Amino acid sequence: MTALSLRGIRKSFGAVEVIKGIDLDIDSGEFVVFVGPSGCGKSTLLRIISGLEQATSGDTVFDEEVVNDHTPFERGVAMVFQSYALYPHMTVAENLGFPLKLAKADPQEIAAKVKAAADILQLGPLLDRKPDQLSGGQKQRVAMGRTIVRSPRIFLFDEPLSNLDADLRIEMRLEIEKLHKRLDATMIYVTHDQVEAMTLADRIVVLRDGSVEQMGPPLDLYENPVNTFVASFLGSPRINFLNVELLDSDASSCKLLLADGSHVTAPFSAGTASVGEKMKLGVRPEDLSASGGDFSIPFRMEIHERLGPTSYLYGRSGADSIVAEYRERGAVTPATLTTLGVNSAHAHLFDANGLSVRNRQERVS
Amino acid sequence: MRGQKRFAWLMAAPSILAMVALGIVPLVWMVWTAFQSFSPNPRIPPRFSGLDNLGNLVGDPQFVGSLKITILVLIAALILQLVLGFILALALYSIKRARGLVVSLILIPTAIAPIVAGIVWWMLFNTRFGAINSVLFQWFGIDPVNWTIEMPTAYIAIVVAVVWQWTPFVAVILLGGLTTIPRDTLDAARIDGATAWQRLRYIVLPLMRPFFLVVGLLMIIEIVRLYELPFYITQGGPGNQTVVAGVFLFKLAFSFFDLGRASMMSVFLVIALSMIAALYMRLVADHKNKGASG
Repeated sequence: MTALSLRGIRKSFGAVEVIKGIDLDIDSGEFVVFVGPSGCGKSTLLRIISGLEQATSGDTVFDEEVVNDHTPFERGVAMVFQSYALYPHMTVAENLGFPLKLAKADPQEIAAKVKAAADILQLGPLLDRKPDQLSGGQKQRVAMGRTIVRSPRIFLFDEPLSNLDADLRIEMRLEIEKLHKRLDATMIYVTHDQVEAMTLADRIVVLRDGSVEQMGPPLDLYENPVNTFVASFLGSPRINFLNVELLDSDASSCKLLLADGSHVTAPFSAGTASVGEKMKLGVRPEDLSASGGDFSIPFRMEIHERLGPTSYLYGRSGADSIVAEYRERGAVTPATLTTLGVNSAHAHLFDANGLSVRNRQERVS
Repeated sequence: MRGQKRFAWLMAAPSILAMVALGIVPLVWMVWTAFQSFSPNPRIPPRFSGLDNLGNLVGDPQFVGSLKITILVLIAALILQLVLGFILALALYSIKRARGLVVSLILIPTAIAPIVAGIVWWMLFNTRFGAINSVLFQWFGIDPVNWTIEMPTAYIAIVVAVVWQWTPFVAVILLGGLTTIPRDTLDAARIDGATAWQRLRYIVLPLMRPFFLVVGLLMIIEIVRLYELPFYITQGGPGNQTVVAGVFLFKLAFSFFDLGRASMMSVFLVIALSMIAALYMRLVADHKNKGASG
């Protein structure tokens, strides 16, 4: 188990700076997930941690030791790739044992460690097969097994589940979670899938354009996003943004002008925002309801999507498109539903720059 | 249905006819000729002579000599082509910009007609006014070497020319192979602790095996039927010591007009080539697990 620190990491490819100064401390045994859209630098950051890529400046520190010049092997990292990156000409057993063979380990020791890893991941019956005789999920298991045999200091996962179908993805996600519990190892996981991030992470690091937007435990980020980017990245379906104008604000409430001209009074402060400012009101689909709520917004329903226990209502509020979760069983028509109630305790107000107005009233518990 | 079938045959007929006329008829005729005895007098018709042609060939020291020198050229040239070709391929692989342009330039030797290459190398190796002797003399003070008229330099000259002509082609095929190896696989090996040499030995070379197989087979075929380069560079000399199989075959057919023996030698070469190819495939393809367990 190893703690990791990144200090002022920057990385440029030619004139393009892809990592723009990242500072990050990861505790020993922590499961940290890097999320962000394609091109945000999350994979590059992982490759810098692994030692496959050199940072242009800044330090990578493993347990107080600067490892900038260490090879991936010297750092003692193991990595699972999106493409699995198994050696196609070797059997499963040889794939698992390859790092040990390179380290000139005793064949008996290799066999024992390969067997132990195979047992953990139920790879026993597959040991003599070649990768092209394995299914996607099995390949993924082998790739994970190859990381285990090394007993690495840090496990790195680069979008490991992206090539799997939905069922397997859930299964392997649980597998990775079990592995983390079992090994109690430091793991860093890169994904663009917010569900994986929410379910796996002790802590999520949201990246955009090579900078950290926000980091913290999944629910913290979900409940208190610092800006519209983080708010819209986490949660599915995505958070709704209503374009509003601030009419009035005091310490405990604010008056907002909705796009359709109606006013609402929300029970939280707009902080330092000035009257007349164009703002965005962020409300998650589950905080909208057909009845109740602290205030209502107009709603013109377009589609009712039934998923079983819950269903989603798609429509518009003024010019803003809206998704609302609908938990009741009965049918709903545009005629019967013309407003949605907002649970304001979980609503977020963002200023013109997309930054959260943090001085909200304390959440009513 | 019948009409459709007939139409299909009709459409295929031209290519079938061309194949039969240009491929199968000459082949059958060659095999037939191989068992006939031809008189130098064209007015006397050939007569069936059984295996006489083969017996004559095997008893002919020139025939045996031509096979020997062909095998010597084959071994040296094939090894050099594969080794140098692979090194060249690795070098090309590390070029990031304008690789296509470099590859096109490098392929020029292969694109040149062998007969032109033969004449060029003959001039380069010329004892009195060849560029090679001139460079050796001016830079290293080495006295003129009788490259093409002495052994083993004549042999070396042929090997050099063959390697020069075909190594770029080998390199390009192997470069194609290198580009099929995923970066992730090589990265995984780095993480597993493989040094550059170990990555080459355990990952790259095993994955390149099919490419070595294909390009090696092509080169074997190319060298066994080698004709223009030695014909122009050494004219078979000194004596008959560099009369490779292709040159000897040409002599049999068009200098001695012994069509029977020439055909028999062709049949022999086809069979020998198949056997060499089979042997090579065993050598390269049968070691499937060597890279991993060896």
